[in-house]
Order: sequence, then C-alpha cells, then structure tokens
Amino acid sequence: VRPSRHGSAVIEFPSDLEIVTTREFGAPIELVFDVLTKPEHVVNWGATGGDKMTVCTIDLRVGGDYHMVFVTPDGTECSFRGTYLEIEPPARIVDTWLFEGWPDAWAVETVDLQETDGVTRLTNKLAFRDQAGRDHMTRFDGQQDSYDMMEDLLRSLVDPAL
Amino acid sequence: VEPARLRPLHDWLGKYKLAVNDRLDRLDDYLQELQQQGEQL
Repeated sequence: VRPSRHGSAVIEFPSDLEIVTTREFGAPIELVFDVLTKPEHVVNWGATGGDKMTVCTIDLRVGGDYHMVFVTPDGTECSFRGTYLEIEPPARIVDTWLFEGWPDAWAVETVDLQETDGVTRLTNKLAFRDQAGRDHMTRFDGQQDSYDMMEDLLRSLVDPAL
Repeated sequence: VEPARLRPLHDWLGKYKLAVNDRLDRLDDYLQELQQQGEQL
C-alpha cells in the first residue's frame, strides 16, 4: 500500500514577490513530467472542485504557448495562458503565467522536478513581476469583489502546469 | 496589529492552501492510477 500524500503540499512566501509550493509524488520523474505537459493527461487532473476544463492547448517548446480555460459550476470562466521560456525534460519548465482576469498579475513560473528512490519532488515557484501582481494574490481589503475574484482563481489554481 | 484585521488574511491563506492541495492531490491520484494501469498491463 502506497502512503497517502494528500494535503502534504508545503506553501511558502519567501519574498514579497514569490510563492513557492513543494510536493512529493510516488512516481518516476518522466511520468510526472509527461502528466504535467501533455494535454491528454492535464485534462484528467487539472480541474478541481467541480470545475470543467474546456480548453487545454500546450505547445511544449521554447517560445510555444499554453492556454487553459476552466468553467466553474456557476458558469464563471477562468483562463490562464503563457509562453514557455525554458524546457529541460524531465526536470525543469520555465514559463510565463497570466491569469486573464488580472492582466497585471503576470508572473514567471518555474517548475523543478527531482527524483530520489522513485519519489519525485516538485517545486513550483511563481515569481511576480512586481508587488502589484502578487498583491492580487494576497491583498485583503474587505471588498467582496476581491474575494469573489480570488475564489474564482483559487478554484483553478495554482497554475495549469502544476 | 489587531488580531481581527488578520482574520481575512488567515482565511485567504486557508483557502489558498486547500486549493493548491486539492489540485496536487488530484495530480497524485492520477499518477497512481496511471501506474496501476501500467502494472496491470
């Protein structure tokens, strides 16, 4: 029986502009890389909480684009897109990350994979361009609209490539 | 700092962690499913 790792993601905020998430998976690095980067796999796990993934395109090459669209149960559409900056199969992916509802929340996402004894450790770093970008992710101003937007995003976080 | 003012941040972090864990747990389950299918072939 494999141990359950549910709920084991570690989320850190090392600076005002960064969010780093780490998580281990009981699978070889090549399989994890494939499942992160092939649309036929991403559609099977990428949507959460009752959402439906309606678009998943991935052009996995430097300069290639990805685009993912989720629809929440109440019909709200959430769209993410970006461009690949570095690809080093099966260990590293660097891309731009843009949630289309928040055009100034632009970030560079770095995904690093490392396998030890059949367990692959994933590290995902979102580095926002400026404080305004990460403020979208962390601000709390008491405005219900902000929470509603945040909840829309949270339903589809963190990033399609995770 | 008034503790009450931190409540929204605490709530937001809780939701953020739940969302991230939900997504990664689904990825984990899918990886296990693929490996089990591979073992059965």
